[in-house]
Amino acid sequence: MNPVTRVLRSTGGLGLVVLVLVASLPLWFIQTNFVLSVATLTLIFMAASLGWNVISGFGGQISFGHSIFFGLGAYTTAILQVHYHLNAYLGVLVGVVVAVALAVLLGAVTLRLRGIYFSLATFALTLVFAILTGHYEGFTGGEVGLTLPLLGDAPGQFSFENKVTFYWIAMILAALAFVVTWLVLRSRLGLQLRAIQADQEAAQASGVLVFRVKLTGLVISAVPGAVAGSVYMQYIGFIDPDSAFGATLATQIAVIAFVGGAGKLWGPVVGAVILVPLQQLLNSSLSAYPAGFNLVVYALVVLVILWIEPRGIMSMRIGRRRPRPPRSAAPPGGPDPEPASPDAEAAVPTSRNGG
Amino acid sequence: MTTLVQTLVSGILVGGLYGLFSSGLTLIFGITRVINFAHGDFVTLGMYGAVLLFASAGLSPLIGIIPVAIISFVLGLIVYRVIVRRTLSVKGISAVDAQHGQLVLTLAVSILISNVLLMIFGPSPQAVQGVLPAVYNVFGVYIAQARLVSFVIALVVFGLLYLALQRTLYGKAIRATVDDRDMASMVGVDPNKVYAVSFSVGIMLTGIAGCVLATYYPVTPTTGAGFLIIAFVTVVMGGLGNVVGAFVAGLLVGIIQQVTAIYVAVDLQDVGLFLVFVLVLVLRPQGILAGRRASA
Repeated sequence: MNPVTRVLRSTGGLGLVVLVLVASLPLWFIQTNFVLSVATLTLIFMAASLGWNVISGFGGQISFGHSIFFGLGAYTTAILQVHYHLNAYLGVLVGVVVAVALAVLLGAVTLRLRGIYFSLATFALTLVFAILTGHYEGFTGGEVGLTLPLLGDAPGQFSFENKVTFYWIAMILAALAFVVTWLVLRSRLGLQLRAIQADQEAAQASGVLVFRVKLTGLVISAVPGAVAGSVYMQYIGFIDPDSAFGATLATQIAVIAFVGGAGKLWGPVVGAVILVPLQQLLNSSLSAYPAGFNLVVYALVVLVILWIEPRGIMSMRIGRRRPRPPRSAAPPGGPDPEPASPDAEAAVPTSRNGG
Repeated sequence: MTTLVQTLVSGILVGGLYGLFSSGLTLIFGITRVINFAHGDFVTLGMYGAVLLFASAGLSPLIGIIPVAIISFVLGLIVYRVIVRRTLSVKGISAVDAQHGQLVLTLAVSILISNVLLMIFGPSPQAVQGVLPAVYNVFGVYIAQARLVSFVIALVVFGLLYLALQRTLYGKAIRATVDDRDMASMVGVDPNKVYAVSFSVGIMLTGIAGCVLATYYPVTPTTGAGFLIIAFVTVVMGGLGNVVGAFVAGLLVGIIQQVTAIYVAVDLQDVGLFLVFVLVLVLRPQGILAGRRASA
C-alpha cells in the first residue's frame, strides 16, 4: 500500500475529506429548508451519540439516559435566558458544568457496580428528570415547555437569522465531538476503557483503576451531549420535558450508535446519517398515515439492521472472499503511521472481539 | 391514621401485580442474561388483550387470563427464537457484543409494540369497565373489589410459579441454570430449551399481570414505559435474578409509590420510587433479600 492511501486510510485523513464534503453541502446539495434542518439535526444528534460512544461504546457501560445531559444542556441554556436574561453562550457553558456535575453524581452511585445497574439507573433517571421538569412549572415551564424569546439576528446572543449558520455550528460541534472520541480512543484512557469492557476483572488485575477510568469516561461522555442540547435549544427555540428527557430521545442516542456500530469510531457518524434523516422523513411524509406508523417503520429498520449484524453496520462484511474484514470494520483507531508498534491499536480490538 | 392504612393497603394491592410482572423480568434476566426493554410493553399488550376480549366477546378479564396467557407465552417464544437467539448465532460475536445487541433489539421491539398499539387503538386511554365494581368498607378503609381480586390472582399465579420452580423437573432445571449454567448443561440440562421456556414463562406472567391490571387501570399505548421503570426498580431491589425477591420488592414498590402519591404529589410517585432505587444501589445493590438462595 502506498503512502497516499495509507494517509487517506488513517482516520485523520478520511475525517478531513468528510469534513470538507459536509462543510460544502449547503453550496451544492442542500437546496431546501427541510433538507437543511434535517442535516442540522443529524449533526446535533451525531455529536450527542459520539459522546455516548466514549462511556458506552468504548467502556461498555451502556447508557440509556444520555438524554439527561442533552436535556440539562437545553434546559440550562433556556432557563438562564428566560428567567435571568443571561447571555446564551454563558448558558452553554453553565449547561456543560451542570451536566458534568450530574455525571459525577450518577457515576459515583452506579459505576462501582456491574454495568447493568448503570444501564437501569440511567434510563430511570432520565424519565425522572422528565417528570420533575413537568412538575416544577414555575421554573421549567412544566409540560408546556419553554420558548426562547425571538431575538432575530443577534450573533452575540447565539441567535442567527440565517439557518445555514446553525448548520455550520452543528458541524463544528460534531467535528469536535469526533476529534474528542478519536483522541480518547488513541489515549491510555481509551485503552483502559476498552480493557474494562472486554474483562473488568482482568483490567483491574492489570492495574487499571476501574472506577476512576469509568468516571472519567462518563464525564467526557456527558460534555458533547450537553453542548448538543444547548445548540438544539438555540436552533429550535423550544424545549419540553419529553423532547429533552423522554424515553424516545434517551434511547435514540444509544440506538444511533448501536446501528452504526457501538465502540467503533465511525459508528455514531454512520448511525446518525442513516437514522436521523430516516426519522425526519418519516415524521413529515407519513403524516397521512395513522399516528405511530412512522415509529413502526423506524423500529423495523433498526430491527432488520441489528438482526443482520448485532454489532452494527460498521461490522458488516462486504463480500465474503476476503479473509479480513473490510476497512470499515478495522480497529476504530485506524492503522497507525508506524504500524509496527504493538500498542493499543493492535492489542485492544482482539480482546474486544474475542473476549 | 385511616389515610395511612388506606395508602398502605392500596400500595400492597397494586404491588402484587408489580411483583408478578417483575418476577417475569427477573426470571428472564436470571436465566438468559437479557435485559428485556420491551417488558413494560408486554404488560400493555396484556392490558389491551383484556380490553379487546371484553369489548369484542364480552369476556371478563378473569376468564381472559387464559387466552392472554397462551398468546403471551407464544409471543415470548417468538421474540426469543427470532430475535434473542439470533444475536448468539452470529459468527465470531463476543458475549458482550451479543448482550448489547439483545438490549437494542428488545428496545426496538418495545418501540414496535407501543406504536403498533398506537396505530390500532389510538392515544386515548381505554379500560375494562363495570367488571368487579363493588367497594368494601373495612373499618373505614375502602377496598375496591377489582384491586382485591387482582391481588389474589397475582398471589395465586406467583404461588404456582414458585411451586413449578421448586417441584417440577423444568423448574429444577431452571434453578440449576441460574446457579451454574455450565454445570447444569454438564448434567444434561439443555440450555436452549431452558432459555426459551423461561423467557416465554416470564412474558406469560407479564401478560397475565397486564390482563388483570386492566380491571382497574386504564391503558394507553405508552403506559409500558412506566411499568418498565417499576420493573427495573423492583428487580434491582429484589436482587437481580431472584424471583421471590422480585415479588416481595413489588409489594414494597407499590407501597412507596402510593405513599409518595398521597403525601407528596401524585405526579411525583415515580420520583419517590427512584430515590429508593438510588438508596438500594448505594446500600444493598445485591438486593434486600440477599443472603438467601438466589434463584427461588
